[in-house]
Order: sequence, then C-alpha cells, then structure tokens
Amino acid sequence: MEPAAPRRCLRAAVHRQPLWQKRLSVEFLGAFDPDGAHRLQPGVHWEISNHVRLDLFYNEFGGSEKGAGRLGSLFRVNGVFLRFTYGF
Amino acid sequence: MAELIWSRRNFLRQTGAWAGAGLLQPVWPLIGAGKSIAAAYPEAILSIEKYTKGKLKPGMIISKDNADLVKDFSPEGLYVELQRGAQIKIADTTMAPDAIVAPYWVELTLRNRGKAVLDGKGQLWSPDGQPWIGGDPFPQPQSGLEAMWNHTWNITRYDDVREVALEKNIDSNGALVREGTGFLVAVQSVGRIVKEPKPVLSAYKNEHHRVVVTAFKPFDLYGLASLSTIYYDNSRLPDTDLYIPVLRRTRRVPSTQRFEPITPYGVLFVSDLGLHNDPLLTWSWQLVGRRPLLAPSPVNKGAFAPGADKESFTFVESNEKFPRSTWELRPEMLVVDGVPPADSPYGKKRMYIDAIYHRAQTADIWDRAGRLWKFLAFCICDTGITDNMGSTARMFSGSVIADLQKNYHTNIFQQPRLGDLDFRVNAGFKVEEWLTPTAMLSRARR
Repeated sequence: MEPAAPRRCLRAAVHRQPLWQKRLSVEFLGAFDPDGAHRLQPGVHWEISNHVRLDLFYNEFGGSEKGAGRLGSLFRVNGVFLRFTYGF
Repeated sequence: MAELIWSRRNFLRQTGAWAGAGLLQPVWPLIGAGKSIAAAYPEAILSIEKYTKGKLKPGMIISKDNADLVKDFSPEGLYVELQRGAQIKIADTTMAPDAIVAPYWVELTLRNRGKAVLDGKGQLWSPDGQPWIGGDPFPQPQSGLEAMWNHTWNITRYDDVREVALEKNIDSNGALVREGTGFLVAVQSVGRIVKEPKPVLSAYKNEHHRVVVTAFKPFDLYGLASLSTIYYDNSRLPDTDLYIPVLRRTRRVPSTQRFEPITPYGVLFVSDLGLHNDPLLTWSWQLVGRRPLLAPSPVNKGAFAPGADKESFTFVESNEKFPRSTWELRPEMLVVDGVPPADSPYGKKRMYIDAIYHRAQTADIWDRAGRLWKFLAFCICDTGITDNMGSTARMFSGSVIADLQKNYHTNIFQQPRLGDLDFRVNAGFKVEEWLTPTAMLSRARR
C-alpha cells in the first residue's frame, strides 16, 4: 500500500485595527504552514481621500520548508513595501 | 441620591405637563373627523410669527448672526450648527397630517386605533397575539416607548422600498474628503399593507424586515453588500451577512458593533440610521416633554425637485458642511430620551417626535460625560413618485449626521435615479430575489 500523501494545510490569521475614524488601519496578516514555513505581513493602511490609498507593509517569508511553491521559498521578497493606489 | 433622581423625574414630568398645556384637544380624533389640525392648538403655536411675537417670519434666513432667535425652540444640535455657519430658511407650519407620511398609512392608523398591545417586555403585538398589522400603533402616545414604536415601526411606512443615495463626508476644515454612492432594498416581513402576501410573509414571520445596502463608490468598496435581518423580537440584535467582492463569498459578521463609523471619515453609526436603528428594547425610553419645536419642512425635496438650487433652501446636493434647508415650527413635538445599552459610547439620545406625523426628523446625542456629541437631521418629502397606492411616495430626501465634537459631517442625498437603479416603493421586491446570501451572490459584481 502506498503511504498516504502528507496532508498540507495552512493556518492564517488576519487582524485589522482601525484608528482615527477608520482613516488609518494597523494590519497584521500571518500564514503558518505547520511543516515549518510562514508568512508574516505587518502593515499600515491609510485612506488619504476618496481616491487615494497608501499602504506601508513589511513582508517576512521564512521557515525551514523551502520547497518550490512553499512559503519558505519566497524569502527573496522579504522587505519593506510602500504601495500608492489611485482608484477611479 | 434616590431623592435627587425622584425630584428630577418629578420636575421633568411637571415641566412636560405644563408645556403640553398648550394642547386644546387631542389632534388625532380631529384628523379622523377630517378636520384641520388647527383646532387642536392655540394659534400662537401654529404661527412662528405669533410664537416669536413678530421677531421671526416665514421666509427669513437664520444664520450665526441671528441664531439666538431660534435657540429656545431648536434641537440643541441645530443651534450649535447655526452658530458654526449653517443657514436655514423659516417656512409656515404645514397643516396636512400626510405631508411626510403616506395617505393610506394615516387612514390605517385611524382604522387600527386602540388595537395595539405592549407585553410585559414592551414588545408590540396585535390583540390576538399576532404581529402588529400596521398604521402607527399609538396615535396618542402616553410614554416614550409608545412614541418610539410609532417612529420605528416600519420606518418608511411602505411594504418594500429601493433607495439610491450619495454620501458625502466633510471634515472640520469644510473639505469633502470622501464620497460614496450606493443603494438599499428593504422588504417588510410583517405589517404588510399593499403587496401580497399580506399582512405577513409566512416564511419570515419571526422577522420584522430585511435590508440590503450595496456600495458602488468609492472604488475599494465597489460591490460590497451588507444584508441585515431584523427580528420581530425587539430585544434581539439583527443578523448581518456581507457579500465581499474580493472573496466572491458571503460571510456572517457580528452585528454588535453599532457605535462606530461605518466608513472612514464618516460619523454615521449603524445605530443612527433612520435616527434610531437599534432594536427598540435594547434601549430604555422616557417621555420628558411636549413642546413646539423647529423641524425640517416637507419642502426639502433635495434631488426630487429638479432645477432647485442652493438659494431655494431645499436640501439640494452640495459639498457644504450643512446643506441649506427649510425648517418650520411644529406645534407639538414629543421629547423622548433614550438611554442606550452599557456597551454604547452614547450617554443619551434625545428624539424629537412629531405628535402629528408620529415620526422624528431630528435627534441630539450626548456622550457618557454628558457633552453634546451628535446632531441628526433627516428631511422627508413628497417625492412625486408613485407609491403604487394611488398617491405619491413620502421618503427621505437627505440627511445630516453631525459629529459636533470633531466637527465632521456625513451628509446623505437620496436620488430619484442612479444609473440603472431608480427609487421605488411598494414595488413587489421579493426577499428571495434581493435579501438572502444567495440573492447577494447572484446579484454580485463579478
């Protein structure tokens, strides 16, 4: 009998705390692979005006599981990001 | 301490009785007899000119320069707004009892007079123990709770409604910082008058109504829909389901967060919609007085009067903090104080309920420290659009929700049409087609 394929699951948590009449939000996204990989993304979302948003966040991918397609393999994109959005 | 509370209540009761002494006879029997409401009130409170001994006349503009002239008979929040630059026009008192209420609703109120029953909890029923059958349940309210049942039982007075509206959020500098558009569909489950099945949708008989609000703007809200199921039991909080476009899914969310801004920069709380949107029995209510007061006039038609401009003072869409509007002296307003549940940052809400229309158009809200916090003003008008009952629909034309402490405003302007969606009442909207999670999915933006 073939051994059962390892079950892959991902646990994720998202938290968003609005401040200052919801204009500013402190955010945290965490995704955890029990095999030993994770993604952590703390950030700040600022709703500047009707059309303009600004996001500042930090990406942290890591853990021992660095196989292709697994979170740990994405450590190259660790770092601080600033995203400016203009919506129509 | 106990003695102090007793004294205060006693004082308020006596003040209320004294102020109500202006009433010559109850007004609703006159309406039932087809007579003018003028016979119920002394002339001195039916004419603002006489009431102010000639200091005010219909047509006058009130601004910060002469706000003191209306201070004694204004909601407190209106006086603050006037001092900060708001401008209103004074109009004659409207005599028609159906100026802001559907004519068939007035007839129904008269037909079902005396039939409403409150149980020990304060829940409203028909005498046979079935849900209330419509019309204002208490034409001559004797308590704060009865007056509030009149206001909140079917807030629009229609079996179903679709409203389209613009929302503008204005900051303390007077700048328009955020603008939204969206629409709302609501269907009554009980107390249905016009559209079959009536009076109750049997599949939803433990509910009062359902309402779904869908946003078009701003861009990052586009397609978001929020469905609320409001239960007949007014001690139970609603259920809320969202359709979330980025997930392409509906999700149940808590409905306990009723006292925080709905949108960034906004000052409108879920609790404030329609002046009072919480289940009635989660608050406690007390009638503290009856007196003449200023209230928005039915001439405030907003977008329902094409061609009107700022100078017409009819709540025309504008980016101003307090859009210009017209107000009149109402001869008998019930002053009802509400104390919210313990988790509310509000300390007290004062509803001003018109004894003729049985609807409130204004409210003041204080914080827990006793400082005036918010002022709500909702204009209602004859839209000129059919009510599918032989008359025209009376509906909100616009609202001001003012945070007087931060000096921020959320202003709402109802529209006759927005894109493909038009305003309708008693149009036969079905719960299954509009107001379930499945309906939200099938109507969703893809």
